[in-house]
Amino acid sequence: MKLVEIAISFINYPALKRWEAKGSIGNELLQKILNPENPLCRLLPEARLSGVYLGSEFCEFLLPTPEILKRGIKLAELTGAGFALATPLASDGVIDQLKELLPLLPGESELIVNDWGVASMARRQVPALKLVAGRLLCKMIKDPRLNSSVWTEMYPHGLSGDSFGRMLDMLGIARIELDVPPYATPQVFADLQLPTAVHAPFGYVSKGRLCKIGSLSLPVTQKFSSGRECRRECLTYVAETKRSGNVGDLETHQRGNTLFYRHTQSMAEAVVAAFERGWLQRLVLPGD
Amino acid sequence: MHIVSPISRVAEVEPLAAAGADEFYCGILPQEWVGSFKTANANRRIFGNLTSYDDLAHATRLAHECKCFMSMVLNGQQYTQDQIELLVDVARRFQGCGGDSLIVSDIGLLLAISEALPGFRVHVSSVASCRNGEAARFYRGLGARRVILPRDVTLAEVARLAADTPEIEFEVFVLNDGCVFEEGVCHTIHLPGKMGGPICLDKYASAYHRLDGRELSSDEMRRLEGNDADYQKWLWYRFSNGFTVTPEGLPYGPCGLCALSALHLAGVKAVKIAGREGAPERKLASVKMVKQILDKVEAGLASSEVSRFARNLRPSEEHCRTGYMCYYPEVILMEESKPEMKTG
Repeated sequence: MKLVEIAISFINYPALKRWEAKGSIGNELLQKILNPENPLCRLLPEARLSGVYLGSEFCEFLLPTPEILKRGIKLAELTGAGFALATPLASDGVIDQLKELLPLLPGESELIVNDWGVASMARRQVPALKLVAGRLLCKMIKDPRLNSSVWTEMYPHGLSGDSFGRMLDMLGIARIELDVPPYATPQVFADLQLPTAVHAPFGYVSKGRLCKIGSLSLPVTQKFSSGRECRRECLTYVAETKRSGNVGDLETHQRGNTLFYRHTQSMAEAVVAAFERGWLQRLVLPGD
Repeated sequence: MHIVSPISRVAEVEPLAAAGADEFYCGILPQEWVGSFKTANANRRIFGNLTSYDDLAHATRLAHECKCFMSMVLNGQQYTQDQIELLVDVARRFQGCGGDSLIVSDIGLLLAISEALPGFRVHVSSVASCRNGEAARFYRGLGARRVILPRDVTLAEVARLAADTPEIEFEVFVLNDGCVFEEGVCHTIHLPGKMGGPICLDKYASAYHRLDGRELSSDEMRRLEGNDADYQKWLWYRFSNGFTVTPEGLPYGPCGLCALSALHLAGVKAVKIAGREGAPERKLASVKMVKQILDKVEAGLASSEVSRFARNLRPSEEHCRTGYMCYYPEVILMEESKPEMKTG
């Protein structure tokens, strides 16, 4: 098996600061993220830390400031890993902020794009960056309530298609990032046309622009709408979510505007097998 | 501004046109799709489709006789290459029967259509989640002529997009059907009701924890519970006020009627009524409501008068005051802080 690349993603500064103080993000963090029974642990002896991600794929309010971005870049340098800035679906206001941030990135950095407009702008304005198509652009069915693989087979992904591949090529996108869908088999990751990363041990189900927890401090009439102030309550609270009586559901939680599910053992086994077959190159683990 | 109405039956075309619709959108479930892929998911709605190419041609012909425009949705979030190739043939047949435009979300399908049917008008679906000028120009470069903006854009964002990107038209939501999550990045299935239905309508309970491991204080618990209670109220509005209508049959639910002045002033080309799967009466009442307000906007009535008229139409003052029934709740704040806009 080829060396497995590991990347650690940080949404925001508090977690970054913790690891910045230690000067490394090695085995201690990995052991905290993956419990020893997780089949993905079998990949770790063959792994090397190749990336530090900063930012959010899901929320426009979690773009790092220039100062925090510089600290993230520094942490990546300290650990000998490459740096990646994760970016969300973007309004024009986010595009404006990105135009300020992107010139700060070292030339070999990766930019994880989840918006075709961000990809198009970055390719034109900062061509040295390596563009990566994020999970929001690499669509697949990930409903945590499905009681059979028949459902996911009815909605196959189109990521191996010629048209999708040519579109990525036109934009200079050199890598894609995926979740592990419910009922995943290793074949889900076969025939992908570009080097591929998977996120673990959580997948994302759905994201909103409107945010329940982000409305916590707002006046009642201003809650659950766009264009309001956000106090980033998602960095303080997380909600375990559950349907009563549905024992077959995947375990889910909501953080900020996004609903996530935890992988099962069999989904993790599918990932290990896909790495062993050379179909996956990078494993992305959450650092906060 | 054009009023864009859904249809799912040929018989809906003429009454909706008479009520004020300028454009229609419809879907079809081709038999060759069912035969090839053994599913009914050729577009975002399994129900609410025309059932044959004959119906598609008939509806298109009737629309043209009424001086209206007909679009067909090919708006699944994702398609395989085999599906894309089949849908390009479906699009070609629609073009052959006089169809005016395709509504597309999948980027691979958009590329394939731009190559196979150059010049055929394409509208980028709201499912594509386009909400910035860079993305709009990117889609224009692929041949798209219009972007249908997703729900939950602000009026300021709409105005900036329209001003900065004059080379492409914009269409926005004006009535009916709200999503809790963003439709284009929600990777769930609208399951049968007994399995939970749409995930945002499903009965999930939340138990909060602090990420730093500390216990929640009683004040935090009280605030979180209060926020959840507000959220449940908002969900009721988001789902069409519990799917209720006035005694006259006018539908409640997500609404941007009082924002029509601002949308008109921004240069928005069209406003969309959601709900292909809705009942014919709901579609008809919705078109009539939008038409009544739009006529006043285009006649130059002051925006505050338009808003007042919109709120008295059902009437819905009490619901409007919550801000939870609004696509563009900032209208209330704008009215308090800005001078009146005159249009027309």
